[in-house]
Amino acid sequence: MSFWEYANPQKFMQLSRRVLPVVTVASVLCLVTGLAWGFFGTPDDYKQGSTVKIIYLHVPAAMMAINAWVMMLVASLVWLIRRHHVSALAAKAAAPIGLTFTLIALATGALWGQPMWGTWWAWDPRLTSFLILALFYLGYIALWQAVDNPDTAADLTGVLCIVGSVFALLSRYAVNFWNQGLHQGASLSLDKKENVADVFWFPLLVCIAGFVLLFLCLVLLRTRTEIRARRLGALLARERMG
Amino acid sequence: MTGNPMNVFLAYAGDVFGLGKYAGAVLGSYAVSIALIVILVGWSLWRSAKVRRALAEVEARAGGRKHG
Repeated sequence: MSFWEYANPQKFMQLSRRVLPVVTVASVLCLVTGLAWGFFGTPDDYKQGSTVKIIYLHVPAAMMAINAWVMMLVASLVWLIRRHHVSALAAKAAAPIGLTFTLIALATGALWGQPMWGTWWAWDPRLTSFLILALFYLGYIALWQAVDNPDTAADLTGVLCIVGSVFALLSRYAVNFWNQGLHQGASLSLDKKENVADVFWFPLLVCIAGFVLLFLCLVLLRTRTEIRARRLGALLARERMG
Repeated sequence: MTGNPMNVFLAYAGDVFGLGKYAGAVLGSYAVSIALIVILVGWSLWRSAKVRRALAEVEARAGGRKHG
């Protein structure tokens, strides 16, 4: 069976109906386990004290804020090149989830930064590019709402998504590009020396898995809703025409 | 620390969870994140139910086949 068969709304609805309950249960299990493990079962950091417990929310949310945009970019490219409606609707469905993760990353970052850096906010490359990413999410959502024709909206938001990808990349690599600012380097790395200590690393991995699964679960749920909404719009238009 | 109910709560929570003087930052982060996720999930479920209901009504009127 070809991957592209799932671009058919009927096939997507059938598959997602089967997958959604499994993903939902897995995401709840991972989130509850990871957050409880991180909050109750890990020690304080020798420098940052108990604020290190914020890592279990901040890092997964920031990762998924960027990855959600990457997923939207891929889905938008599929729409722009192959004109599959499900991919455009999946990109639309992912945007509020990505925005929520971006807001969580910004809020937890501010709450973490205040006691550690002595300020809620600094115009640091990573923080600033994340703020711009949040504004791109808002612009993307607003553009979908502002255009009546869904195909035109998908075209315009697809182009906006390509432009915004620059800031999604900057959010990830700003520290490496400019090598300045308050924000530290990556907490997760393939280089073991750069990684956080194992005692924080394992619950963090579970939390990341939980956030990935939560994203998948919400994208499936919301894409199903968008497909139904599109069919509803088409049926209502047919009714109006008599 | 006494007097302000929030400070009393944070001091208590800091003791109970062993968060010390950073109880506000840690608990605030968890509260904000969980609240945002609950709002997102609640809104997604609400909209899903609303659209599904509306589609069922229109499909019943049209006598069409069910979708998903």
